Amino acid sequence: MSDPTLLVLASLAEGDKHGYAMMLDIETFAGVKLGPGTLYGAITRLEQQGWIRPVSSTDRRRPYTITPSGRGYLQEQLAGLSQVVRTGLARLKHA
Amino acid sequence: MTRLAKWMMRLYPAAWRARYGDELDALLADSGADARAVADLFRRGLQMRFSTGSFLKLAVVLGGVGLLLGAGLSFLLPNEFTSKATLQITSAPISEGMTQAYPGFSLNERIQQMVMVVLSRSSLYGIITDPALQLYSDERGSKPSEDVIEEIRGNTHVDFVALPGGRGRRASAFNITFTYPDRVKAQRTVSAMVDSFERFQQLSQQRPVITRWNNPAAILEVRDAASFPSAPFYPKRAIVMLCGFLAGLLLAGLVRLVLRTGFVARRFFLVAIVLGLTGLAVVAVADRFDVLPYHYRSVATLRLRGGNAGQVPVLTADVLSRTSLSTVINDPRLQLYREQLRTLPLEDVIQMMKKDLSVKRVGNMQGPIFNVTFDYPDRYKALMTVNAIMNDFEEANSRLFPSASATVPLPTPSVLEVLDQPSLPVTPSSPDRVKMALAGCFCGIAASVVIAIMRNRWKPQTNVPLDAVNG
Repeated sequence: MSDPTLLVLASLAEGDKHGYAMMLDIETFAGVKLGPGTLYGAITRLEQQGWIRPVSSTDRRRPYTITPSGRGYLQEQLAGLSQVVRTGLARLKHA
Repeated sequence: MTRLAKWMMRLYPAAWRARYGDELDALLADSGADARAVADLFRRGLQMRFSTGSFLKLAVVLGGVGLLLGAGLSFLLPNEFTSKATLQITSAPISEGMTQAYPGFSLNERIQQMVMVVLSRSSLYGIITDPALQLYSDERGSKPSEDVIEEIRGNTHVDFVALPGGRGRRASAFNITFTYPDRVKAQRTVSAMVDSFERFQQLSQQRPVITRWNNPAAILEVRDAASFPSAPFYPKRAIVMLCGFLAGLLLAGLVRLVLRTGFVARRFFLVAIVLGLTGLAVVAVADRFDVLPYHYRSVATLRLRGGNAGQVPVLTADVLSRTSLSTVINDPRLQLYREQLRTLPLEDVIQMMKKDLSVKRVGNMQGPIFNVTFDYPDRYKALMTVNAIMNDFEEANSRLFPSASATVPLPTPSVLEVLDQPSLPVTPSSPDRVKMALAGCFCGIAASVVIAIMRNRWKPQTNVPLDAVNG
């Protein structure tokens, strides 16, 4: 899975994080190192969709939190993916 | 590298930077910036720039950039000046008897005859090498004289001008123009050409018919001297370029079939365009170094003045006979079909030459008019071969259709006047800066249309309307 929007949502599902924390977390759990431009492109889009929102902070490192609609979207996407994964694995087993 | 990364942030729209700039700056401070991060910021910044903002804004910006580039480019190109002279040829008062003696010889034909002589290779070579003019000195040092002659011919134009003639006379006028980077030289060259016209006029009035062969029944005239092929006849250069582009696309398709995942699969459109352009570039380089198997065509137009249509096939059969063609093939000055002669018998090479050589009737005006064309990979040899074939036609005409008395129609007596002396150009005729700037503007607007179409294809990760971000 390399869709940056899903990776960001998956990262925020654990708790609020700022940009650099998200970058490290994604690298840890998905093995994907997002570039700064790609990461903030995804954050921009997710915020515009209403799936994440910034948490008020005085620091330049502004944290983001996942919204309920973002959580729903992530759940829906992951369910679809897991269905694909289960089917694929089952077929590999019987092949 | 961090400084470069921060500079890349300028690629992002101002509204986006106002909202996310500080955060991105803090991220770069924490994570550091390597070359990959810089490239990522550059790519996403461009995508953001092209995927936000209105089409109108983009068109204005790119149109303005194109306008500036076009105008700037026009100032980099050297100025060229065009000098012009107007000449008039008037028929002398003709008595009734004379009119019947010289039927149908129009003044325009007379001008064409003069132009052919004045713009002939030998005449132009004389002008180019005139030490008083010093034309094309750089080109003469680096190019064969045939190429320089073609260049001066390309920069010289003769246009007919409608003028009323006097009572009992006919008149026809024409402009001769020459374009050159040096305005004084342009004027002097036109003067030299006008002198050539006057000299030819004087000579032809003294000696109306000049022919190498005595007393042929019909005079073989060269209406158009053998052309020097500057562009290949086949395959067409544009088609070869297109083939190069299509080969690149095909290669991209094959790579896509083999590599079903990864960068090629994700960015197939981009890969196809890059490989297509690479194919185009490879063909362009091969073209530049004359590696491609081009064939060049030289054409000459001949007229058998006073002859009849039946004579042309007889002459053609003689000129294209095996004996005649084998002489041309074995001519040590031409060196035709060297490779083929090593492996094939002469008879086969003659058949090959017959396929490359053609004689075709194209009209009839005071005698049959016909074209002689020859296709060959070497453009100089193509030209020289057509000249050799023309000589063979002259020789055959004199040998096969001899006549005891010459029945050559003399040209109508005429007077050549210079109506306008060669002008000294003040303003450059090229480059046309306004046109170039407008062309640049047009290209910019066209690019904005292409980008607008591409936006829907790219679907970048940062495709977000900024008003929504700000809202």
